[in-house]
Amino acid sequence: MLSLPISPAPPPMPTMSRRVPLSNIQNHHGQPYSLSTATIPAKRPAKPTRDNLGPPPAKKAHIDTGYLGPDQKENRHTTPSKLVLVPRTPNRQDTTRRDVVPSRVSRSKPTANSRRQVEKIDSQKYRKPIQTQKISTRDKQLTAAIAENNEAIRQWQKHYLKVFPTLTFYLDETVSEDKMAMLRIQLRDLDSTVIDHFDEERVTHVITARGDIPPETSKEQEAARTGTINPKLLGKTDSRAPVAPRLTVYEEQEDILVLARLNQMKIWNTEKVERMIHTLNEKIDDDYIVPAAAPLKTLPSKHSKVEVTRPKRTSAVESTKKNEEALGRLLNQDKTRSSQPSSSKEMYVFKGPYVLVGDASGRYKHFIIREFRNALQPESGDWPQFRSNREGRCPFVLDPDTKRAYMREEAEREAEAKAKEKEAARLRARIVMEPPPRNQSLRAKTSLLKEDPRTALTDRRPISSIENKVDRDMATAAAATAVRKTESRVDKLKDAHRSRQDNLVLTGYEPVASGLRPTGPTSAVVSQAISSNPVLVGPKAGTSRDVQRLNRRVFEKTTGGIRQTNTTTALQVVDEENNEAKAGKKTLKRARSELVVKEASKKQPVAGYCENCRDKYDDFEKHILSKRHLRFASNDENFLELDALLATLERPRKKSISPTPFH
Amino acid sequence: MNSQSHRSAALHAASKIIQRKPSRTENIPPPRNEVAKQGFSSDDYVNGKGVQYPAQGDEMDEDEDVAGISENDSEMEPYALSEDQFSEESDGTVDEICPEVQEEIDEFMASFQELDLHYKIVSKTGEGTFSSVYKAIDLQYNSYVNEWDLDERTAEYYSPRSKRHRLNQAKEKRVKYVAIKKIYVTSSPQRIHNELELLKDLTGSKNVVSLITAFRHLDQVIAVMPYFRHVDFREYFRKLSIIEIQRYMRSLFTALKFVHAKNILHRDIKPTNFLYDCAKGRGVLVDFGLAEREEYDGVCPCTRARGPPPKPVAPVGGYPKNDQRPSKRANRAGTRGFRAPEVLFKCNRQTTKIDIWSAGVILLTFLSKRFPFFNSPDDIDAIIEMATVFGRAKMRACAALHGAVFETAIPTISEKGHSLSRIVEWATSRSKNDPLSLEEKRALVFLEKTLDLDHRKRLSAAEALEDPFLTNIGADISDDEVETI
Repeated sequence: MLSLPISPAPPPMPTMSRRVPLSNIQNHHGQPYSLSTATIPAKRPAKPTRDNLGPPPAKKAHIDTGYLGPDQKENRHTTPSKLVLVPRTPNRQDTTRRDVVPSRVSRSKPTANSRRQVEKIDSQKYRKPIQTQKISTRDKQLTAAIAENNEAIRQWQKHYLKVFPTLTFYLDETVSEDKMAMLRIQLRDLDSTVIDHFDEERVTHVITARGDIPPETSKEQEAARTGTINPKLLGKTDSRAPVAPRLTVYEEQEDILVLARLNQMKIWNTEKVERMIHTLNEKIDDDYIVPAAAPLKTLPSKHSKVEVTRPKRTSAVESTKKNEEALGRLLNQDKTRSSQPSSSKEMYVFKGPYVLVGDASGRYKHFIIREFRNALQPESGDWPQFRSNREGRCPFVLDPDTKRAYMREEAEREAEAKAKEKEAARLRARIVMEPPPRNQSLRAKTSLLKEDPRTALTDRRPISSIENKVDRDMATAAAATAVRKTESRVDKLKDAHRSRQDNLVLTGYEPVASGLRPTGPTSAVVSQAISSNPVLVGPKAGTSRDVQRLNRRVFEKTTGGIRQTNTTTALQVVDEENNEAKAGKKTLKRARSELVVKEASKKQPVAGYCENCRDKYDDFEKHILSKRHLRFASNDENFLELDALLATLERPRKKSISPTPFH
Repeated sequence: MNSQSHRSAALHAASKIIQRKPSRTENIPPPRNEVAKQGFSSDDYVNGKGVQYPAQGDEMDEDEDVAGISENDSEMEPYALSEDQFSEESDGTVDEICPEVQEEIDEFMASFQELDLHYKIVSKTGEGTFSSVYKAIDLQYNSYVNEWDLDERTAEYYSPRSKRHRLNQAKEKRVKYVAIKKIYVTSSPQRIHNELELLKDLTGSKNVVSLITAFRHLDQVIAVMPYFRHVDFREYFRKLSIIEIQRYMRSLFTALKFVHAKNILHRDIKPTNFLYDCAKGRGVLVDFGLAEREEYDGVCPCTRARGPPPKPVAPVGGYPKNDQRPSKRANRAGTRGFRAPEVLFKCNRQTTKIDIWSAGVILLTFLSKRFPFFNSPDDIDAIIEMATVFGRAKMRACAALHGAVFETAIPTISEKGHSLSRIVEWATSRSKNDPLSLEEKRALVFLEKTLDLDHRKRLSAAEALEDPFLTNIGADISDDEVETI
């Protein structure tokens, strides 16, 4: 079936642009994960003093020989292309070579045929490097060499596509979850078996991300294997005894890699597996000379299946000239392929100030996670912190005077807010008589007000002025405050349609800013405006209620775009005017009536949850008239328990007076 | 209410009432008077308070309280006149009602047959998540045995009793007010049952509201309770002397002791739920809508015998992006800014100590003269604010106590936090020339014991009442010493 090119066809030189970067691909392939795993033992510089974790002596010779040396031991059979790329390793005679693939194959009960193939491949590959240098000088033979090499790769692929289904993999716990998931899929695509628990009887290959892979048993030890039989391995096809002294190296017998070695399993680094899978899935199409036997035809079905998922690859490489380009594409594909599955379960690492509260047992997900923007100054951070503000106020609420940081940010948005400001400025020119705070420009101030409805309301006004506002003339500073506040609402109103959310975010420290929820008239923002504002003004909160109410109404109109149908704008106006008449603030009225006109506000449906219907509703009034709810309401059985209690709560009557039955 | 036709009609009417609640601006008749100052205020207030439902909350899914006793609970205002009440109204003078509310009331009255024979609603005093509360005249006060009427049973009741009896018109001279609580129809019968049952069990304390009666029509349940004259918290919280604060706290802890002795958690202790009459020095704890009996089957590491608390876990500085683990659930019913740390850390064995914490927050409000002290728009901010005060170390320890991990990299949260004394000094802008008074220091010592992050070390209500701060109250001890009747 397989006609391996026995003739030691000289592999091509790295002049093949396509092949060269494959090594890069390999490296790249492992990049997202390999930071910690890249240091498989063979890659480490050999140190004479190394303990037994190091590679066996046999390998050390060529670890130092060439740049690819490190890969030779663990990866030598991963990618044939790689071998091609190793021209500068003169002595690639790897004496340990024999034991690698054959043993694996034999352990997995290969057919005699497959074993032969492996040997052929091995020998072929083995010879390649030797030929490399000679061939490399002969450009004429390059094409042939490429073809040869590709053929070698194909043979390699064929072989391993057959071998893989016979392998049973165990991925140890050091393999990250995402990588594990990916490998599982890929290995199963190759018809390999992946098992979740370390079954000594079944596992042939352990995949680990660890760097300290125990060295393989040396040749002598291997030779001795046939002689000694470990009881543990009885019944195994390939039962070879472990060498006792080795065990002492690892105190922990539970080390799965040690066990694996003991059981003559192969230990593959994740990188290596990935490389192998990558190569196995790669379509080898040498465009130089396409052999009669098109790779696709000879490829096993599994392979072609994989191929389907990467259709671009086939057509991508049209010619040698385009190889570079195609390579870039390949790299990209690899990048996406390797990074996509990994992103799903990754940790998000906080980049800014954060707070996290989670369950210590790990059974539940964190219940509090919030990250804040980095702030140059802690006080400009938008998380709750002590703020210096007026006595009586919540100490965690930012005072306008300390809002410089926010203003700065706001200034950036001014450009888009210009239009709004024009009108606001016009109004302000009429009414405002107080200078803007600090050195802030008018603009900045507007932004500020818009940003923070609550602080805007009382906006560093002397308490007394607001207090007196109810009784005083509209020209008081307090009135100005209110108007300015209203203006901010004007802004909001305008803005509401296109960027309500943005506005809310802009409120900085306000509840909304913390991502609480979209706001409505009943949201924390508004109710807070009511509930906490009065605190800071005067002896009695109620004095500023007019302002609050006005603002609230505006707010309602702003946010509650859809109110109930039967409420007309006219009613709203009447309503507003009634307020105004009472307050006697004509300016306010004017400012606000603009608002009123602007939005034909309807009564806002109140959304909520009905415990009885166990359903959320968008509109309270509609819901309680719904058939479902009425059905519940009219069924006394739903109220049996309650009725029993109510029966005990009847109001006791005086005996003397004739009772009027009430209920 | 008996015939079927009437029932459906009534149902419709009842439904209509409910409509009034969330939307007060519907079908507003032209203003009847321009004087509707109070009316508007209260209406506006009502507007602002609105009614929030869990659907609007983002944390609902994690909550046990399906009905969303969440953030918005702070807006709950049972028959409290507090937030929005004008002082005149508190004094029992004529109440003006704005047209909107009047219509709402009219429909409400019409929905219940003969309700108007018994009560005349004079104003709406509050609106919360699950209910609206109206102040009403008890028209047939004299037809009933009024065990609940504290004034009636005290010596305050003045002499010409027989005379008034003969008048037989409560309205005439001594109008008796009651608070009528209309529980929204979206509340489950179980929830309503829970509240009414607890109220019934809690009869007998001067400092805890009692239930006069309750009745149902279809899904509409109405509870009638005594009306208490009181003053808005915001009017006095910055003015009270330490002695007055002591009285307030004594009254509050007396109520808590009574409630806790019955193994009931109020869960929503806050100024608006404690109707305090500064003049009388008496407060009444109201709104048991969130209350529950203490449960002992919850599992939390904090129930383990004292010993080394679980070790805080090393910070990770990140979180899994796609966390498929379930959310931990724990009852967090209560009001933002008043939630105890164990509530925030999702302890499943919450005790009556959560009420003590809330009471401690009230005391902190008094001493710091800041209201609210904790803003806490959500639980995350609540945690941050709490950590800002108490520091990372204590927060970590407290989290570990409840099987949680706490970590933060917020620069304004210090490792050790601040002492409450320091915070009060800062909040009240003390200088060296104006140090804390001796009384204040005493109060702060007491405060530390009620605001202990570790609920096991936190005082119980009974212990608090034994504390020097609440036993040595100035000269006169108010009559609320009489705890139980």
